[in-house]
Amino acid sequence: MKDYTKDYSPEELEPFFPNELLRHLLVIFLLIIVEFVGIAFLPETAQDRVSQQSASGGYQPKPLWFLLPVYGLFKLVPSKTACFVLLGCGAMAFISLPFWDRAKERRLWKKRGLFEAVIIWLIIFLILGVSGRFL
Amino acid sequence: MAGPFSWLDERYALKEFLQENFTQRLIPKNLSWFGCLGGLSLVAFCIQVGTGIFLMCFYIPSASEAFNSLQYVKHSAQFGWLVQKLHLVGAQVMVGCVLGHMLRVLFKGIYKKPRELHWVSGASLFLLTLTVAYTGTRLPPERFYTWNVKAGGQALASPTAVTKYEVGEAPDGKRFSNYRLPFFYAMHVALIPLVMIMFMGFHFTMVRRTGISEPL
Ligand code: HEM
Repeated sequence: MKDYTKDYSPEELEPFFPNELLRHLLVIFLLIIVEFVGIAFLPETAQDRVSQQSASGGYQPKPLWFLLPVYGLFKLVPSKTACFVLLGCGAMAFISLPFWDRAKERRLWKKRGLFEAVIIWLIIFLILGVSGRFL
Repeated sequence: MAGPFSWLDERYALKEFLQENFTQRLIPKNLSWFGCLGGLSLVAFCIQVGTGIFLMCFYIPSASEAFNSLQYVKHSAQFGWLVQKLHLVGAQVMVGCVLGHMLRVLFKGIYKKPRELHWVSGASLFLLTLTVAYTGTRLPPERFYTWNVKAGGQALASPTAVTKYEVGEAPDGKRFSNYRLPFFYAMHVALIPLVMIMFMGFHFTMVRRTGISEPL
């Protein structure tokens, strides 16, 4: 366990118990509220719609929102192998970020190049997600 | 001091553990509220494990039984509707928390030395979170076109020595075997969660060692 008293003066420190523990309990409480609001307002699973529509054969279930970009990629790129290669390369680049971003600067918005790359990456995800939803 | 606490304390040094980790621990002031997102991801994961174990008591990963077993959870089992929906909503909340946690680390560059391996284990956890959610969405029967499966169902009820025989045909003409469902089920409830717990072990050990990053 890291000992903060070595790097900080006593005025810069506060007790974990109860201060931080209470803050954690508060956000956990918020998380539970969010989940229950979701239970109350998010629609049922697609099941009912499937039973009505797919009897006639036309219903294609869509993945959950966070899987839509990957779904969109498979819809847009005809070759499955190409999709897996793209996903694999993307995953490797993502996991190895600390080893190829060697800049001294930490804040992303001050980093030329990487900042733009992240924005383009996000836009690509958005486009893929939207096409996954509507294609 | 007598009683169960001192009995345990004598064996496991509980008092020392509590003092070190809670009552006498000091942390930097003014930590960002966004710093809570990692802890929240963990809480959301625990909720998924709890509700998932409940669902495992009812769900049957077989092409002929999956639909009925889920109907039973939703409409007959006590509080089944609540737990089933909590599992579905919880998955989306967990992805939200992990995504928020990852974006904070990315935007503030907290993955820099000495925290490179926090990122490697964390980014793997992010991909595993998406994969476990994906395998989960393959389990409800509507995902394999229950209603359009031609020639499925009944044949499965009788015992058979035939391996990997096909049980259905989807509207797009693809055929599939009954083994598809148990495969996704095994990934969803066993392999991926176990690998995630392992990566969380790495992640937390390293966070404990380096401590939380200072405010920028
Ligand atoms: C299941 C997913 C995850 C869980 C349960 C988790 C949990 C945690 C916890 C409890 C902490 C310590 C408190 C905090 O800073 O929030 C932490 C810190 C950290 N996590 Fe994660 N995490 C997850 C995913 C990720 C991802 C996707 C990344 C990045 C790609 C990541 C990178 C980091 C880093 C760099 C730290 C150190 C933060 C600091 O020093 O301030 N984690 N994580």
